[in-house]
Formats: sequence, C-alpha cells, structure tokens
Amino acid sequence: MNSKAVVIPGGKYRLEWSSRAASASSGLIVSVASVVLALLFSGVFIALNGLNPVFVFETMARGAFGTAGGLSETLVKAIPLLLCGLGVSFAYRISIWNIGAEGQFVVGAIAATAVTIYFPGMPHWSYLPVMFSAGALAGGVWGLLAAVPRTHFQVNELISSLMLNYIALLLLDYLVFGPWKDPAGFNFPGTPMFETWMQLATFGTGRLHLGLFIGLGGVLVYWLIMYRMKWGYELRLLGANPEAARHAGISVTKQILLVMLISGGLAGAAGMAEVSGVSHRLMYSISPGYGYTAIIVAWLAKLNPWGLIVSSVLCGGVIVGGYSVQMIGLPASMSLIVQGSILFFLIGGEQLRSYRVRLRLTSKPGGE
Amino acid sequence: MDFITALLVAALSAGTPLLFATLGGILSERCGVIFLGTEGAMLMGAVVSIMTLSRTGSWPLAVVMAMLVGAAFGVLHGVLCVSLKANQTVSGMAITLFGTGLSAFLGKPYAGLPVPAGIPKLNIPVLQDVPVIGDLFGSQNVLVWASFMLVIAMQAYIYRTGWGLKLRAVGDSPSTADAMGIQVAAVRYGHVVAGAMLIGLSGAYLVLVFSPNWMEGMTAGRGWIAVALVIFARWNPVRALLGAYLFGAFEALGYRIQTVTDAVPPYFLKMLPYLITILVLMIIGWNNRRKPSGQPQSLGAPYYREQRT
Amino acid sequence: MSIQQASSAGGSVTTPVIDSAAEYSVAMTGIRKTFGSTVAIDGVDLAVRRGEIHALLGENGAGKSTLMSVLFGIYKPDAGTVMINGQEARIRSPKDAAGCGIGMVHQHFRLVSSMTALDNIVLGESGGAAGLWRGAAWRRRKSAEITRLCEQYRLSVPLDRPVWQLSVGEQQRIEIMKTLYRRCSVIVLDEPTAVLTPQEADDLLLTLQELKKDGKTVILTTHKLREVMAACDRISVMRKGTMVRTVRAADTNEQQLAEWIMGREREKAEQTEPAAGRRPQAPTGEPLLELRGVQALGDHGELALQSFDLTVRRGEIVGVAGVAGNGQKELAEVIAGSRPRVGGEIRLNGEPIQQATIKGMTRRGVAHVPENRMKTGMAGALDVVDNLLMKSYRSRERSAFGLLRKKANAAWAQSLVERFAVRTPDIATPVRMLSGGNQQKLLFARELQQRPLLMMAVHPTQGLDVGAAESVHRLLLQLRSEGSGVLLISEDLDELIKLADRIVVAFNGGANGEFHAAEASRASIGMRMTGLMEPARTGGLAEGPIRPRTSEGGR
Repeated sequence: MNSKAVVIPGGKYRLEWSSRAASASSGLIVSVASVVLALLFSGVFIALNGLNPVFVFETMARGAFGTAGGLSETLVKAIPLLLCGLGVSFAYRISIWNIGAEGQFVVGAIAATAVTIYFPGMPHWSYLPVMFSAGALAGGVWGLLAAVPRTHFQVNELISSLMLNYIALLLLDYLVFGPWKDPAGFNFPGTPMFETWMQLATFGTGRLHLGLFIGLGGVLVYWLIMYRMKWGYELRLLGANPEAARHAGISVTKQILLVMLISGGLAGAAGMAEVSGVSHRLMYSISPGYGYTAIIVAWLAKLNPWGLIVSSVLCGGVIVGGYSVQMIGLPASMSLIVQGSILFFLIGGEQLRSYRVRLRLTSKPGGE
Repeated sequence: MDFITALLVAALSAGTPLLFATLGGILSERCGVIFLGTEGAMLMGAVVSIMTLSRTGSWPLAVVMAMLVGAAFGVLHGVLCVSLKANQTVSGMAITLFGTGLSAFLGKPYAGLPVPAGIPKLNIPVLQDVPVIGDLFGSQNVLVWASFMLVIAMQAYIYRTGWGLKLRAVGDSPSTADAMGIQVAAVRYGHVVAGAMLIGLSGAYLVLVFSPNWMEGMTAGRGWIAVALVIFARWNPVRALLGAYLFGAFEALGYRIQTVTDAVPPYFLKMLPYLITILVLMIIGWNNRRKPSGQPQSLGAPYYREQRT
Repeated sequence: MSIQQASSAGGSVTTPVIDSAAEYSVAMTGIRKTFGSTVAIDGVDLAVRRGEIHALLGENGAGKSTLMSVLFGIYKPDAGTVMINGQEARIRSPKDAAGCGIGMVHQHFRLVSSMTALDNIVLGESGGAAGLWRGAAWRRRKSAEITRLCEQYRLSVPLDRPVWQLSVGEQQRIEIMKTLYRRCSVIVLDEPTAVLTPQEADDLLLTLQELKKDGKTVILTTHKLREVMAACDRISVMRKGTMVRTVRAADTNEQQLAEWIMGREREKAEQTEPAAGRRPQAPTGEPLLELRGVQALGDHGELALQSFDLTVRRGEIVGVAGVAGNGQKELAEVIAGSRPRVGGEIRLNGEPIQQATIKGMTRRGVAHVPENRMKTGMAGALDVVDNLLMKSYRSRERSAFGLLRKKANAAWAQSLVERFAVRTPDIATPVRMLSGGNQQKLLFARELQQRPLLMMAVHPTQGLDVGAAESVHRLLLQLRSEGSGVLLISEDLDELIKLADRIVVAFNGGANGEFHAAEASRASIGMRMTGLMEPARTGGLAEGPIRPRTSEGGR
C-alpha cells in the first residue's frame, strides 16, 4: 500500500492518505456531492448577480419538478438527454471521446425530416418506423465520419467529432433558411409542420411523448449489451486495457467503428424523437445543446445504465429550471454553469475517491 | 486592394486569435498536459475583456484581465490534472462547458453592444506606402505585433534556453527529468497556466479587434481549431504561425467568395475551416503513420513517481 | 525485485572489517531493508575503497539492486548507516546522492530519447541567469567541454544526434558522461553489461579502467563472473539478501566465486533436479511447433528475427536463453500471432500456418503467458471472472446466442480460483488488487484451463517471490507431464537449467546453439549467449545437442 502523511502545523495531528480500491457506494456519494457542490458554487455567481441563490434554486426546482406541467416538460428534455447520454456512454466505455452527439442529433433530425419531405406518399403507418431508421442511420453515419479519421488516420476523435458538429449545424441552417423553409411560415426558419401520422403520440399532461419509451428501451439494450452480452464484455475489456484486448483477439479498429455507429445512431434517434415528438417540424436551433449536456449526463451516471435515467432527468430539470429563472432575470445559461461545475467536481471527486484519508494523532494517546 | 491582398489582410486578422490560442496550446502540451478547454477559456477571455473595457475604458487592463481569467482556468486544469492526476480530456471538456456557460451568463448585458474604443494601431510611415506589405503591416494593431514577438520569443525559449530544455524533458520523459532534479509538477503548473493565459488573450483579441461586439459562443469552434493547429504545427511556434494564417485564410476565403459570387450558399463556405481541419489532420496522420509525430511523449499521461519507501 | 522470505535470512557471513573509515569512499554498515513482510536485505556491510573498481556479485534477487538503491537514495533503509568519504551521510533522495558525488547508471537508462546527447548531459544543470541562454556559442563551448571529457576517458559519444537513434552502448556511454559531467566521484553501474553486445561490454570494461586511473570509485553490480575477474579489484558477493564476503580479485577464482554465489544449493540443485521428473534421454514426442528460418521485423523496422529455427515436441520444455534484445520478444510475438512474420515457415502440429493471428493461434491451442502481465495479459480494473474469460469467452460453455452464461461463468471462475489456489477476497475483486504472484497464478489458470497443446511462457517468474515462482515452475512441469509442449523464454539461466529439457540460445535474432539438459551448464550457455562461441566453430559439441543454424527458406 502506498501511503503518505503530512503533519499538520502544530504537530498534534497528521493527515494520512493511502490508495485503495474505489468502492461502488463511494461513487454514488461523489455523484451526489458533485451536484450539491456545483449548486453551491453556482450560487456564488447568482449572488454576484444580486439575487438570493436559495430563492433561485427554489424557483428552479419548483419550475422543473414542482408541477405536473413542469415535471412533464423536464421529462420531455430528459428524452434526448437520455438517448444522447446513452450514445456517448457507449463510446466513453472504450475511451473514445465522442463529443459529437450534438451533430449526430442534428443530422438525425434532418434525416427524419427528409423522409417527410421527399417521400410524401408512403402508407401512414410506415412513417414513424422509417423516420426512426433514417434518423438513427444518419446519426450513425455521422458518428462513423468522426471515427474513420481516428481509426485510419490517427486523428484525435475529439476534434473530428466536434468539427462535424459545426458542419451539421450549418447544414441545418442552410436547410431551414433555404430549400426546406415553409413557404407559408411567415419567414420562420423551419419546415412545414409534420402530418399527425408523422408525429410521436403524446400522453399524460403536456408534451410528453412516446420517445420516452424509446429512451427507456435504449437503457435496457445498453444494460443488456454491457453486462450480459459477449460484445459488451469485449467493450469492457477494451476500455480497461486495449493492449490486453488485442491479445484476446479483439480488433480495436472494428470495435471503435461499431461503437461510434451505435453511439451516433442513438443520438440520431434522439434527433428523430425531438422533431417527431416535440417540435413536429425541423427548425432553427432544434437543440439547446443536448449533445453537450449528454456528456455531463454520462459522467454523472458513471456510465451506469440505471444512473443514466436519474442523471438525464436531473439535467433535464436543470434546463427547465433554467428557463423558469429567466423570468426573474437570470439568463438560461445558468444551467450550463451548473452543468460545467458538476463535471469539475465529479472528476476532482473521482480522483480523491481512490484515496483513504484519515486524521490521526501524531503520537499514541498517553505516549507523551 | 485586389482580391489576393484583401485575402491576405483578412487571413492575418482571422489568423491572429488562432495563433495566440495555438501558442498557448503548445506551451501546455510541451510539458505533457493536453489543454482541451481552449474554447471555453477563449470565450471567458473575450467576455471578461469586454466587461473590463466597457467599465474602465482601458484596453490594456482588459487584456490583462482576459489573461488572468485564462490563468485561473489554467490553475484549475493544473489542480485537476497535475495534482489530482485526473483525466486531462475530461477536465478540458469541463472547462469548455463551464466557460461557455459562464461567458454567456456574464456576457448577457453586453450582447450586441459595440465595443467602445479599440486597440491602437501602429502606423509605420515608410512601410505604409509599400504595396502589399503596406496593406498587411503598415497599420497593424499592437496585439498583432505582440503575436509576432511572442512567436520569436517562444521559439527561442523552447529551443535555446535552459528552461526550454527542462520543459521538453518534462514533456518527453518526466521520470528522467525527475531523476535529474527537475520539479516536474512545478514545470507543468507553470506552463499550463502560461498557456491558458495566452488562450485568454486570444479571446480578448477576438472581441476587441476581430469582431468587435460580444456574441454568445462567438468563438464558433476556433478553440478546437487551435487544438488541431497544435498538432499541425508539430508543437513548434513558427509552424504555428504558418498554420494559424493558413486557417485564417480559409476562414477569410469563405467571406471573400461571397463578395464575388453567390453560386455557393454561404453556409457551405462557412463549413470550410471545419472540413479543412479534419482533412489536414487526416493528411498529417497519414504521413505520420510510420514515424513519430513530434508529439511530446508523455502527453496526456499524469506523472506518478515510482517509489517504494 | 530482490525479495525473499524473512525466515531464510541470516546464516554465517564474513564481513569486511572497516579499519580506517577515511580510506573508503563508500562504507555501508548494517543495512536492512524490508518490503512489507519480506526482508530484501539484512545486516549488509559494504566497504568500497577510493579509486577501486568494486564488483557487487550475486544472483538475480540476491539484493544487489536494493543495496544500490539505498545508496542512491531511492529506498530508505530500515536500519544501518552510510558513510561517504568517512563522513556519515543522510541520503534521502537521488538529489542527496548526487550532492554526495554519487552517480548512478541504471539498468534502464534515464534519457530523454527525443533530445540530443548533449542536451541530456546538461539537463539537470541549473546554471543561473548566465546559463539561461543557450545559443550557438554556448553549444560550442559545452560541446568542446564534453568532447574534452570524452577524450579524457576514451568514450565516444555522438553529441548532436537524438538519443533514440543511438545504439544501446552509446546510450550507456551518455549515462556515464552524465555522471562525469556532474563530477561524481563514485559511479555505480547497475548490471551494465546485461544489455550490451560482447564487444560493447569489452569497451565498457576499458572505460572503467580509465575512470579508475582518474581516481574515480566504481561500483559494478553484475552476475557475470568473467567480467568481474577481468576488470575488478575487489569483489563483494551477496546471496539471499546478505553479504557473503568481500575478497580481492587476485585472491580468488571463478570456481570459488560461483560457489559463494550459489551456496550449497547449487550442488543440491544439480543432484536432485534431474531426478525430479526430468527424462534422462532426449524426448521423442512428435514435433508440435516447428519454426524454420522465421524472420520478423522489430519495432524500428530492423530485421530483429533473422532466420530462427526451433522445434518444440509434445511433452518437453524447451527453454530460450539469451541476453535481452536478441529477438526473444519478437519470437514470442510471432508465435502468439501478434507480430507479422516476413519470412520462413511455422508449423503447428504438422500443419503449416499461413498467417498467424492471435485469435487463430489461440484456437489452435497455443497458450501465452506474456512478458508484462499487467500490460498485455490482464485488465487490472476488471474483476477475476472477466480476466479469466479473456481467452474462452467465445466458447459454447461460456456464452450462447451472444450472451454470456453469467452463472455458469461465476461457478467456473470460482472453481479455477480454488484449483490454482489464487488468493483473492472474492471473484468480483478487480485483479489489480491482487499480489503479483496471484495475478500470475490467475493468468496461468486462464491459459491452462483451455488444455493447451503448446504453452509459451515469457519471463513467467519475473517480479515474483520465491514461493510464487516455485508454484509457477510446478505448473509448467505438470503441463509437460500431461503431454503439452512448453516454450519457456527467460533471462534467468537457473530457471531454464532447472526446468528445460533442451535450451536454445537466442543471439542476434537467430538460434545460436542448442543444449540438452544433461550437457547444459551456465558457462557453455553463457558463451553462446554472448556470441563468444558460434556453432560453426564448435565441432566437438555439434554432434549431439547442437544443430547447425540453417538458413534455408524465408529468403
């Protein structure tokens, strides 16, 4: 055991720390503590803005979870976060840093919309499955576009996936400001509204739609793959030690491509669910940064399937809460600050977790 | 001004923020720490400088504040990645997310407002009258000149000083450096913080000179392009200068083509820098497939001293 | 690592009497160092006279490196004192050691490979404000200064090329230059000849004489008798963590030194081992693995394996001996299927292998215990079950319809853990929490449960304590008795002599001679390892054990 100690000035106590195995329960503690600390930290900025942090957080919480309407809206935001979060979790499992969920989400939305625009005459029942497939496939291809430079040209996938985000967003702008713009839309940058059979049905109060079940199904599939399937075993091995995985006969290149296809596909499915379930059309700034928030969702959940459900609802709540504090004069970007600081505390806490810290008397009691 | 000259002038202007950010990235990566928070730190530098400028009216103070806020992110990255040995990639992503959010939050009241008084330009009498060179350098602002000096200073520092030697040793083989009595953690902290300061400065240039009003997310991926440019530059300041202007030219080319023809939708022209970034990195990767890329060998890896006592 | 059980320390030892402390540049007394519950060295005294070349001799694990690490401030001793030039010194870090004028040339060099030799030599120098600017003039001055030093000690070092382009010998000379540049008066070389070619080793010994002439004190740890007798003034012999004795080179001979190094166990080992299951005649099992003229490229694109011939039969252990870097690593990787072969022929069980892949070789029954177990053999963060599954998860018993058989696998893992006596809290424990010996047992468990035709073990006991090494040996012997072939690649000659039926010596990427167990001796193998003797020149031995190197095929 590697242990170190420093004597605290005054000489009576010393602080000892030694490395240890990180336990599962301490992981949960770190996640919860990170959220709490991030809120406290963000409170400083709120206070600097001349507002009472407690009041602001109360408003956020009430807006997000306090009413049936708010809760439903939180779940609406949680759907894309959950799907994108699942997507990036797949990639992060094998240390592929896909930060391109935003772009993959957007092309998924574009592809699903393309089905409605270019194939108006299909049987009504076939639209949702075809749109879903198109969205997932487009997202997957976008993921592959980021992965091939990595596997065959040694390009850092962070850069390639991020550059593709900008390209996807510009493509979206081109379409909704240009050829796909609704002629009857009073110049609004968006396509015509989808027909009812192209929309995911809503249920309960508000805008909550069937995409929720796509998300929950995704969690089940993720769990099944990761903990029950042979393929998930290969991914876990690859994530833990790529060299050992290679010696077990696993092709690293093939796995990266496959994982990025799935990862992008999930984000693409989220894009389809958003246009088909919420906005009912493709429009300008379809995503308030779901793809980036998904990174936090994944880390907060420690890539755990059930944790992803909790963290996506939580982050959805932060977004909805962010909207509700706009009314009392805080910008919605408040939610980004909370998210970013959660990540800081998470990674800091994650490292501290692998140490056992103890405060001890320098000499044995009564030994003087 | 003809097309080419105008393009060159625009390239210089668009390339300078990239240059500062790339130089910052080089300083950090040379000691073995990847800094991927460039986008966030640039945005913070930009917003802090515009806040300072509109409150005090002093541009030097605005620049200093931008560098200080960059330094704060550098310290944060250092604590997480050097002291706590956290994953450098994730820490960088956190800085980018946080910086994007905080800059939008702080910048809300300043969005769209014109920038009061810009950074002074240096008018050089004789040079101004030389055809192309006059257009480029005759009346350039002080930060551009500062960037030239910085390239020369960094080139000399890295390759011609004892400190630079230690920096390279820490980046390539921290265990050797440690055995030779070099304080690995101190060198890493110092250079990560200095690099982050330059990134903050690049944000200040962006908002004070390049596009003088604050917009949410105004860096538009420049931070990430700078990360790519560090690789393109093979961690060498002079090559960073070439790379930054090359990318500046691509960015400018998009706007220039729009003034000439409207055959290509502007959205596609705006995609150029991003597409080219990926393509250039692919070409570099292909060329490097059988030889070392020039990357500091300990890049991304925290240093654990091997010791049993 | 030199670790042994506490109980076996002690015994009768003769210690040098330190008459006048000032005469000695290094005097260590009563040094004790423990790692956890194991005692690495105990009550060790070492006195080195000023201006002599002093050899510290002993087997792997005798405690030489530990003692030197204490001297250099890497380990803090539990007991004992260190005197430098008659003054008691408190050496807590390599920096303190450098302050006392002690320089060390480690077995694994501490060089920045992308920088030039010159930069490496001046690296630690602070130089103050005046030394900050390092332009052309400064370079010329330093270059001249270092060249002068090089000439003085007859060391040839190319100063302006990056280190990664230089040979191992040149890199070692840079390490020596570093100590000279820092004006160290005591220079410690840890196993300096282990990585050198014979010619380079001879040059090194000449260099040491130059150092001595200049009044430097040289301490050299080694287990090679030849160079000790050739170059050293006095010799200290260590065994099992204690100092056996210190003698003048002139007063002893190789025979006597060998006895001190090995102790009485040597005779015991030679007498009892063949009886313990080794067959008296050459094994007659059918050939399992045949390599003919196999060629492969090394990491830097050089031809690291130049026509290697090797045969492993059923029911025999074939050892591959050799100094590190003579192609053993590439040989293992080619057979495992992780390194492409560029020429020659491999047959497994009589079948020619066209293109070896890791997956294919595993399926054909080749088990592999790799050199660096935590790097390529296991995933430290995953638990015991997952690590055991690595080679067999594709099989019907372990998975069906793409799903792992969770319950069956847990029961299976539990039974393997019990059968191989792996000490672990439970099967859900991450393997990085296990000790090195238990990790290795787990690795063997995984590889053996597939009932391999051929087991290839590379340095299987490296870093293990005596007990763990013993159980690894038993596993290998058991495999042989069950009719599998074993290829044992090791740098530990004793291990090879103890276990192998035949020993093939790797030298310069080829097989340089072959010995049957009965004829194998350290001396004869050692000569092959260093290339002092090549097969063509040794007609007397060639009839039985030695097959001439063939170069047919693969061209």
